[in-house]
Amino acid sequence: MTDRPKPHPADDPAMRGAVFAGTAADPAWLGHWLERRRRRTGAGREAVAADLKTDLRGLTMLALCRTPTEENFADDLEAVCRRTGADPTALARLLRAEQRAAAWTAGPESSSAAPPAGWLMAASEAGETDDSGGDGDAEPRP
Amino acid sequence: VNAALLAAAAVNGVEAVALADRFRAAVPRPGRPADVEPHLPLGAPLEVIAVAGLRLADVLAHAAAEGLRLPTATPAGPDRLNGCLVAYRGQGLVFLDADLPADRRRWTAAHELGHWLAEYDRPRRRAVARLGVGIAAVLDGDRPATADERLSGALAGLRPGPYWHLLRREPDAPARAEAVRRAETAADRVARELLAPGAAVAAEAAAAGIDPADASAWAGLLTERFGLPTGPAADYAARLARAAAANRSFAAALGL
Repeated sequence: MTDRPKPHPADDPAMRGAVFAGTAADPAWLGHWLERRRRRTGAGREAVAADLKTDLRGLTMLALCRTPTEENFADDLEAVCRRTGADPTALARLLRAEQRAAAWTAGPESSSAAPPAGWLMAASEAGETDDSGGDGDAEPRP
Repeated sequence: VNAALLAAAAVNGVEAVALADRFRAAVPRPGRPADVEPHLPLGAPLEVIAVAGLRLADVLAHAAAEGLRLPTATPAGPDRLNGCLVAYRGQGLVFLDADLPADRRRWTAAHELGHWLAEYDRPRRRAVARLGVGIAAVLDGDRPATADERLSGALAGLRPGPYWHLLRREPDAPARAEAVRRAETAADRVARELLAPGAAVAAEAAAAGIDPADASAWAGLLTERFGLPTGPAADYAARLARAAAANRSFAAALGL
């Protein structure tokens, strides 16, 4: 008589719900940013998982990982993706988009008409056929 | 508006190499021609948005939809852009014209990354390292610098204050043309180092037996082997040839 394999905890819908509920409020967990994406786009968790080239089990495991720190972003990201099967490039894009949206809407100007300060904008105009033309010093500096 | 912050951010060749190295260390080894665009979100807190026929109005509308209302005047006349960086609160958006040829798109992505690294991230890191994380609120325009912060900043060679914009055609652009020129110079230097690293260019030139004084040979190398568009390649090539004619070392010409 053989033992049947135990189901993976992340496959239990109740467990999944508990994981996302428990991590959604804290930006230190990846679950916070995954749930933020889901709410912002109106997509289901299956769709978020598909964007990250993983499944619901992988998404649940991902939610339980710590959010990559800025100083070790690439290494942290690689580690969690190796463990969960998520696509690093897709996860990087999701995180950058959600973190930027959170930061930009946190500013005081988001709820007022006052022009914001503290931003930087630089553009390459199409008429500038070679951006390098702006590099005005004649001698390259050592 | 803080011109001093921006002027202090201007990078020389050695610093451009260091900034490019910092980015490269965080992303997969680049292929040839090098292309930073796919790796921008991995190596920096940047999101890329490609818009066909990109215009300034697209940038302003998108930023507003994302919660950032930019008080930038929209000048009359053509406003087509190759690319644009918008940075705020430590996060940035890189806009690219989806219609650009591949070489011009690679250059523009590297140029906008150069702006991020040289004018936004670098001064922010320096200010935080010298004055503590609280200075981010000053850089973000949430509060003015305190007297202590101004004094400590001055002692550290910094002038803490909010960032500003670098649009050449803004009504007050002439008043800060020099700062804008320096910013463009810095972004170009970083872009060159990202796409055609000086050490690699020198090695390829030596292997190909290029005449150091022949600008057209340099330009050919830079376009064919490193994928630079013709304008930036010609500019870089002219520098290398001028340096050779002046009998300067390749290392100096390459900014090493």
